[in-house]
Amino acid sequence: VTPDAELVARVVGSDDRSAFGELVQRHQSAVRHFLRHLCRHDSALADDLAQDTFVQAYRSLGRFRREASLSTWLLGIAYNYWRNARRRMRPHSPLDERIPENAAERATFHSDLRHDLELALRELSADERLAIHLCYQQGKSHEEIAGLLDWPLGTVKTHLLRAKEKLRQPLAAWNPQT
Amino acid sequence: MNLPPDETRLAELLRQPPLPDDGFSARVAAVLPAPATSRSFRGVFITLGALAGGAIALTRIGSLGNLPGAVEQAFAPVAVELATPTLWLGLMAAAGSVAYALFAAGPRSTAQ
Repeated sequence: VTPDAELVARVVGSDDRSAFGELVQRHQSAVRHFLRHLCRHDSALADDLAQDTFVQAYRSLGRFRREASLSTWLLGIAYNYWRNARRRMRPHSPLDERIPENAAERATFHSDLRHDLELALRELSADERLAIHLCYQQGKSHEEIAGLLDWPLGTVKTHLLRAKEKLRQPLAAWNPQT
Repeated sequence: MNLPPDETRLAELLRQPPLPDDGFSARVAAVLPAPATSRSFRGVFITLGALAGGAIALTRIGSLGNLPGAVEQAFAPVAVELATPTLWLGLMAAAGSVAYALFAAGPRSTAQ
């Protein structure tokens, strides 16, 4: 597998669009999952924002400095696009507060445990859910989350700690030996 | 990232299957900006303009040997005008605009 850095160099050096296409294919799932999480599962809006994210990434790739991984950098662009969209849409449609309730999403619950976990996740604040998503679903370190969201490191740790406390009860009920 | 057992369990429960591409990459490819050729074309235009200007100037003055006299003659009225401060202001504004048009970056990045 060609490393991200090599593909980035090909895009920046010779405007290699097939290399950029490979980067999109490689990272589209993480970016779209992240935006679906932020948009409370409004997948159409999330995909529009994801498209804008990759176009902006294409334009800015020459300024990517590898201080963060490419995926973290992409999530940072996605987060900025979501914040702009939220600012525009807030009076009409509060993206933060919409809770997914449609049948298709309920059907994705593969077990009662997942269902309980989903209910427990709804009890978390938006920031706690975001921290949990980035840490456990995107595999980002505390430092990466702090950089991506422009939060102090202590805030990231506090959100994660509180979120885990809130999730502990439903998890313990399904796994009494822990 | 190495996680303690209960955190590993949480990570397993929260894990989502990768989203299928479903034509997403193709949609992105379709809306990418056109190849950036403007910068190279700009260089060619500037070079051609400079060569054309030089050629016209040479035909007017006859040979390179006449250049110092021709320059002095051409710039004598300009030197008088340059003593006016408002002209300097105008020239600086024009130079700033040209510099911005030539060297400003593309759209502002929202990247971190």
